[in-house]
Amino acid sequence: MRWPSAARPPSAGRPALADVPSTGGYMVAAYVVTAVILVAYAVALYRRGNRP
Amino acid sequence: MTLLAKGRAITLLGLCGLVGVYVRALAFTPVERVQGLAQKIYYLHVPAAIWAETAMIFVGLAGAFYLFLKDERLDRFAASSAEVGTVFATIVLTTGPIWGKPIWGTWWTWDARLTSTLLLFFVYVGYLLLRAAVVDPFLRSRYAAVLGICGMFLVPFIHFSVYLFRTLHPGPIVLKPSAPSLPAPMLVTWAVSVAVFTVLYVGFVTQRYALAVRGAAPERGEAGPG
Amino acid sequence: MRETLREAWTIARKDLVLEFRTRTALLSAFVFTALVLTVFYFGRDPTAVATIDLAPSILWVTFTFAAMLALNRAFQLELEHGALDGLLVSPLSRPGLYLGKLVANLAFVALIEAVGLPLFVLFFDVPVWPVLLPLLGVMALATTGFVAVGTLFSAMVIRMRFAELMLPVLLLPFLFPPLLGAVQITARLFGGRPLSEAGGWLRLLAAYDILFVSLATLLFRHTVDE
Repeated sequence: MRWPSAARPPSAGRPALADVPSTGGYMVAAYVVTAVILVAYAVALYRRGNRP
Repeated sequence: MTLLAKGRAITLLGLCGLVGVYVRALAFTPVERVQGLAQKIYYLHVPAAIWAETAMIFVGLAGAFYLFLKDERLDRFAASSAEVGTVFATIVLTTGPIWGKPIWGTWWTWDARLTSTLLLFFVYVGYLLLRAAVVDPFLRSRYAAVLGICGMFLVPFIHFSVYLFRTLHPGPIVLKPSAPSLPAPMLVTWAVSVAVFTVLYVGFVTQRYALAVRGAAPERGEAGPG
Repeated sequence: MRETLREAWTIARKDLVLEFRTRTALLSAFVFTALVLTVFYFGRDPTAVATIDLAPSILWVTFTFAAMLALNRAFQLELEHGALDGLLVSPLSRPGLYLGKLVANLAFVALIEAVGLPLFVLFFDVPVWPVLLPLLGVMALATTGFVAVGTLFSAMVIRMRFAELMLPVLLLPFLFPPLLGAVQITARLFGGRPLSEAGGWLRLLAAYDILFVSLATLLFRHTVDE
């Protein structure tokens, strides 16, 4: 899958897209952490609701 | 449909919406040029921050109305909003450092949003501890309302303090994690994310409120289910 | 209004007389202050950071600890002597009661600061004399902020479990704006900058004081009444 990219030909002094340090791992970590927190809370509420 | 069931339905809707946000943010939103993929953390970090703070304002308002009207539904709502606000604050405080590390090189930066949310988190924790530490339910509601109102008024002071500090000691401005003027596709993703977080807030608070109604019945001497 | 002030003075005087009769709290607060300053002195590396850079923070951390001690003592005294219920059934107005407690606490903390400041100057060799008047002004402003919120919270905390733990937990986020402001202004004073440069911080402190003293006066009755 190609990421749709906002890259234009780099002007002087601006990094080309290829030069951007790979920050994808952090993105994944943050998205995973957020999902975990929200789903964990949703599950916790669900289980509290099921207790008599 | 009971209130709890409605809350669960709304939460489920919110979680489905969240999947939509994830797909849109990851696959259909342009990659920011300077920060790369990490900038996409913005679409979760900022809506969570907005709701972490709005939830606190609701806690304060509900507390204020409770002190006037003595309606315990307001107190239950305040307690629910506080718990959900804490969850959202936790999201901000975890995604913030994960974002900061590649961009600013350190896990923690005392930038305006993180500092404000950290203090807000402490207020939330204090609020929840207070509710746990007071045994008498009527006393608990009153004390929680007092703290909630003070917390609500503290929020603008925290913002102003951090703003004053930042204007004198500017943080790194070269790679600012929030772009003030987002191009349209990014703005849409952000807006959709805010909407989804709103739905999640409503769903969570509804469930938590329903649980409070059920749990509170015996201790307030009302006839209740179960 | 005048009645309220008169009541406040009655309460304040009663508390202060009680405190002076026992004197133990005051003495332990003095000793504690001296100890904290000593620890800070020996904890730093003079070759790494100039004392003058750390001095404002050291001063204010010390004062904050002292204020927390004072606040804990304030209502403990009432609890020990069982006088709280007696006060509550008396016709004293709640705002008067709060303001009285506030004045008594402020006097107590002011006394600690009056001892702490000379000790600080002695231990850290900071040129305070030329900026003494503005420094005292800042001390008055910031201390009023801490103690206003602290007096309100200590009224609640005595009826909670884990009271000694709860007061700092609840109070600390509320100390952030006045503390930050105090440190910033003090740093400018020690650095020989004109006070006008710290205008924003002074406005922050003043606004904080006005808001939270008023708020606490209004909310106090909810912490003691049924």
